[in-house]
Amino acid sequence: MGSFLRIVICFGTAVMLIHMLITGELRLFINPRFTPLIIFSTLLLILFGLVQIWHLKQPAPHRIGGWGYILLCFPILAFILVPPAPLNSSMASKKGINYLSPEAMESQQVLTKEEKERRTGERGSNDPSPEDNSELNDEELLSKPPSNEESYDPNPYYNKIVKKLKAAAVIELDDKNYIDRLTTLQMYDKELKGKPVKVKGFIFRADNMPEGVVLVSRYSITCCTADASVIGIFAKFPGSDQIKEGTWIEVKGGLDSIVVERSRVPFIEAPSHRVVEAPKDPYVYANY
Amino acid sequence: MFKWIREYYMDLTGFLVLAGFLYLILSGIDALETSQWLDSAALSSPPAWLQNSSTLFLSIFIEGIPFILIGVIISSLIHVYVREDTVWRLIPKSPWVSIPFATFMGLVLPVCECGIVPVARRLIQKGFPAYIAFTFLLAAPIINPITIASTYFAFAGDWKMVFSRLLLAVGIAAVMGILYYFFFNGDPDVTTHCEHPDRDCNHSHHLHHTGQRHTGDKLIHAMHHSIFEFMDMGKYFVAGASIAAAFQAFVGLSTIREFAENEWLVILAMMAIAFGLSLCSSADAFVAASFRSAMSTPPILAFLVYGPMMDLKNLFMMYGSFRKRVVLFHFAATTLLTLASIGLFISLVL
Repeated sequence: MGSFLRIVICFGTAVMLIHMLITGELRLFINPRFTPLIIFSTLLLILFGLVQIWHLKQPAPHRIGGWGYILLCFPILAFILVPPAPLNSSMASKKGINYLSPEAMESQQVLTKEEKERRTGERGSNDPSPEDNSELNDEELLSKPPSNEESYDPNPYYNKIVKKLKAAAVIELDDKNYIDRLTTLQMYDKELKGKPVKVKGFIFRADNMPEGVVLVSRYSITCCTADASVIGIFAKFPGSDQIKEGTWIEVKGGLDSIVVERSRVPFIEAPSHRVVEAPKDPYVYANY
Repeated sequence: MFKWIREYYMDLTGFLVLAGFLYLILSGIDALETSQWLDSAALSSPPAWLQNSSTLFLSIFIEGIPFILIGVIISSLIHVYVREDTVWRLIPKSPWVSIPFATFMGLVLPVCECGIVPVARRLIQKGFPAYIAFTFLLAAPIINPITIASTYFAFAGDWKMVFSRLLLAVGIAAVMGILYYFFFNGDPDVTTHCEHPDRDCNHSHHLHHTGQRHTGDKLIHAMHHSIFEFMDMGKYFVAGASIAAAFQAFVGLSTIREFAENEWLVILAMMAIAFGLSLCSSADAFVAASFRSAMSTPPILAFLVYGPMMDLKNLFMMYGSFRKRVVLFHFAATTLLTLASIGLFISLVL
C-alpha cells in the first residue's frame, strides 16, 4: 500500500506541475525565471515514480506513516479543490508596501544630502537638470566602494531608461517593463515632471495616504507569491475617494510627486479613469 | 479478491501508470488544458481567505520542491557514495579548525534552507560530529553566494548591510557550533531514533552490497533512497508551509505597525515575523528592504539573520529529523544568540 501511495504522490505532484506549466498557472505562484527548476523537478518526480514502480516489493528504508502520506497529498488536494487564482486585494493590507524601490531610496538619500549642501550655499542653486543628473552620478559613485565587481551598476542602467522615457510621448508602464520604469520614475521624478504617464493596476488604500489619493498598485514577485509586496503609483482622479478597493483601472496623467511615509513618491492627477478587466497574470516579476 | 490484488498489485500499478501515459500521449497534453474534470471537482466559489491561503501554500510548496529535491539527492548520494572512514580522514580533528571551516562550507555547497535539513542529518549519520553539521545547517542558508548577491541587490549595493548580515550569521553559527561541541559531543543519538529496531538507521546493511554493485545499480539505489527521504522531509515541509501560509493570510507583515515605539519590541516582532513567514533565504532581503523607510537597521538585521536560521518549515523538518531535546536546545539557543548578537551590534556599531 505504501509503495502505491508513493507512486500516486510522485506522479500526482508531477502531473500538477505539468498542468501548471502548460496552462501558465505557474506564474500565479512563482516567478517565471524559476520555470527551468520546476521542469527539472517534474522530470525528477516522474523518475522517482518510475524507480518506485521498479522497487515496488522492496521493503521501505524509512517509515513515512499514514498522516505523512495525508500531508503529502495536501498540495494536490489544494490544487484540485481551490482553483488557482491570483492573490486578491484583501491580501494587500497584509503585505508590505514598497513605496520606493531600493535604487530609488538610495538616490533620494543622495538627493537630500545634495539639497542640504545647496541650502548651505556650497553649490549653485540654478543647476539645469542635465547637470543635476551628472552630479547625482558623481555623488552616487563616490558613495560606493571603488572595487565594484558586479556587472550591474544601477545608475548607467537607469540613465539609459530615463533617456528613452524623456523621448517618448507617453510613458507607458506595461507588465514587462513595469518595475524598471517605476524605479526610473521614482528616481528621476523631477526630470520627468509633467510627462504623461499611463498605468494600469488595482486600487489600494492605506491609512497613511493623503485624502482622496489611491495607490494604483501591482504585486511584485521576487521568488514566490509568499514574498509578494505591493508597489505602484499614487493617483488622484474624479471619484478616486469612492472607488472600490481592488477594482482594476487604467489612468493617464501628468507626472508629479507627493510625500507619503517620509518618502517622495511619483503621483499622477488624472482627469478621468477607465475601469478595465483584471489581467490574467496580475503580477509583475522582479528580474535581478 | 484482496489476496489477488496483493499478489498482482505490482503489475496492476504498472498497468495503471502505462494507461495514464497512453491517455496523455494519445489525447495530447492539450487534453489537460481543455478537460473539465479538474473544474468539476473544485469548490464553486471558495471564500477569499481560503483562496489566499491556498495560493500562498502552493506557492511556498512549489518554490520549495526543487530545493528539497536537490537536498535529498545530495543527501542520498552522500549516503550511497561516501564511506564513513573517508569522512573521518577528511575533517580536521580540532573543533577550533573544523567549526570555522563549517561556517564557510555554504560557499562551495550552496544548499538553501529548504534542502539543508536532510543534508545535515545525513552528515551526522555519516559520522560527522553534530557540532559541524549544525554549524553548517545554521550558516549555509546565509553564507552562500545566492543569498549574498540578493542581499546586495535588495539593499542597492549597501555593503554595510551585507557584511553585518554575514558577520552576525558567522558569529551565531560558530558560537552554536561551540555550544554543540560542549553539550552534544559524543552523543550519537542526535538524530531521530530508528523506527525499525531490527534494522539500523544508517542502513549499513546496504553498504555490504554497494561495494560489489555496478555504478548503475548504485545510482538506482540512491534514487530509491531519495524517494523516501523526499517523502520524509516533504511531510514536515508541507506541515510547515501550510502553517506559514495561514500566518501570512491571517497575520501578515502589517502587524509590525502595532509595535512602533519600543525598539526591542520591534526587534522581537521582526524575528517572530521572520519565523512565521518562512520566506526563502534568497528572497527575504527584498521583503526586508521594504521596511527601510519604516524602521532602523537592527530590527531589519534581526529579520535577515533569524529568518534563514529558524523558521516554521525548517523547525518542522528538524523536528522530524532530530531528537526533541536537540531541536528544543537549537531553537532556544539560536533565538537567544540572535538577540544577544543584535544587542552587541547596537552597542558596538550604532
